[in-house]
Amino acid sequence: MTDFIFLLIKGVLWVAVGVGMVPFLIYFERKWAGFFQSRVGPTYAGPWGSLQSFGDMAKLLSKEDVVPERADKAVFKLAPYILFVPGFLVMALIPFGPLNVDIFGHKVDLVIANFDAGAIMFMALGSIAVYGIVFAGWASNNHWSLLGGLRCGANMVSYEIAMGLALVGIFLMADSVNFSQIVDGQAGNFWNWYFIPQIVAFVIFFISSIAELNRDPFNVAEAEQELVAGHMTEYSGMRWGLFMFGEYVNMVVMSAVIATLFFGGWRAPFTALDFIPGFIWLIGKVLFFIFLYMWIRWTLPRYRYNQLMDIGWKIFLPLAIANLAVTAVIVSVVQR
Amino acid sequence: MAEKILFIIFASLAVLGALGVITRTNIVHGLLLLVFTFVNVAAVFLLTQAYFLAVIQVLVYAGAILVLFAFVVMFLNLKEFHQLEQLHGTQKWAVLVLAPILLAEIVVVVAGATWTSVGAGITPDAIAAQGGNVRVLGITLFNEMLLPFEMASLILLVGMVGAIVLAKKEDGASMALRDWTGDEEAAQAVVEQEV
Repeated sequence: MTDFIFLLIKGVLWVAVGVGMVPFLIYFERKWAGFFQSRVGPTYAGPWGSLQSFGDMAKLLSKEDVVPERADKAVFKLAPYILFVPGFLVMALIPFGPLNVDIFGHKVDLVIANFDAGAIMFMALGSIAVYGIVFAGWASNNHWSLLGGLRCGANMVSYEIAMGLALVGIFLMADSVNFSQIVDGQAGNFWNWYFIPQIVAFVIFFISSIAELNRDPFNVAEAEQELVAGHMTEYSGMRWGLFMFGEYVNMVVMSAVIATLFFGGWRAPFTALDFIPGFIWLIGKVLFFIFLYMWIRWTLPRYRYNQLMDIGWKIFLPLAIANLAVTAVIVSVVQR
Repeated sequence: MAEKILFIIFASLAVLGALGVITRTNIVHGLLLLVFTFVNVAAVFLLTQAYFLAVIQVLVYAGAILVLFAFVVMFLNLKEFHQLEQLHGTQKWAVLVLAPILLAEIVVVVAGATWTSVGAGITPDAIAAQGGNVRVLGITLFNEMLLPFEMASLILLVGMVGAIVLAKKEDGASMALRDWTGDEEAAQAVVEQEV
């Protein structure tokens, strides 16, 4: 029974952190977008415009919910949920502290689900999220939406392959596909983290994750100049808000996954700093990667669709396979 | 007990989803229900503690293969699809004969089979002691099952090559000629000659 209560607390807290970050992320995204482009960003609502996202939320919630007359209504309404539910599920797999911690005399794992095949589960849930966008595009019954949905589907499927192969190098080094064991494999100071030996995999994974998140410079699915807003064209009010919400939740999750796989997860960069709880380190790393995503979004122009496909298939896929082969040889030599 | 209840829930959802797949006339709804069915089957795998199998079920079937289905469905004109139904109208009657035969075969085979556990020692605890699902499956695949595994991968390779050959408009001879001489026109002439 106490196990169940702890599970409930962990689940509510972790999800609350993920969701609670979203309004602030949207605010920072706007503010940083302003700074990167020599503007000031939002200033009107609250001090330094800090209440901007709450104003946005109130606006989205109070807007009329328009469903197009000729849309496939059931699928149209379902699609935003398919996009963001898998993101939340991935959060359950991310460890935010060691296993078997003593809290008030109870042994508690500081991860919601210590899942045997966690890192592969992350890939599987990512592949489910594709449907949210593809079917949103189809159900809207709109040319731009359909093209956006198809582009997005092709984009995400292509980059998932490179991403998956980049992950295998990590699996070989950690000798496991369990997130907790991958973090354990990076114990010690920061030079034991996997981003140094797996720098190629890290670059591939990070750039592919931008494509997975459909953010600039890879947001071909909603390229404004060509497709109005892609799969989101026909969405309005809170349904549109759910897509935006899903994008930011997925960004938090993806940053957490990158931190866990390549940057030691909840571990401190120096063992001397271990007195600071792992949760703080993980959130810090997550915020760093989110900043990186925003920096890239507001700095680089969008790639053309064929360039996007070329990068995915002709550069990242061979590179990821080469990285895998080299890693496999080195790991087997070192372990013998 | 809890596992039994969960099994009943997920198994019946999977069956309901599968029924939905074959009764929907809207092919996209059918596709979504197929994804739903696969996810529920994965949940049933989870209940038997076959974590890796469950994840692969979602990743490969629900994720990769059905996304390709979704592409094909979206590129098709659904109005033409309804005409196909009329085209295959006569086959409906053959189904009435063949389906009961298939059902009878399944019942006979399932009823006649003697169910034995593959390895009596394979329990979730024993697998965990050997380093978990993924490791045990990997060691089995690359030791005892190496030949079937390699054959399956060969079949997939043949399928891939076949798809490329079918999708290519040019034949191999003209391509080789073009690559060799860099002469587009000569290659085109070869194609026209063969046509």
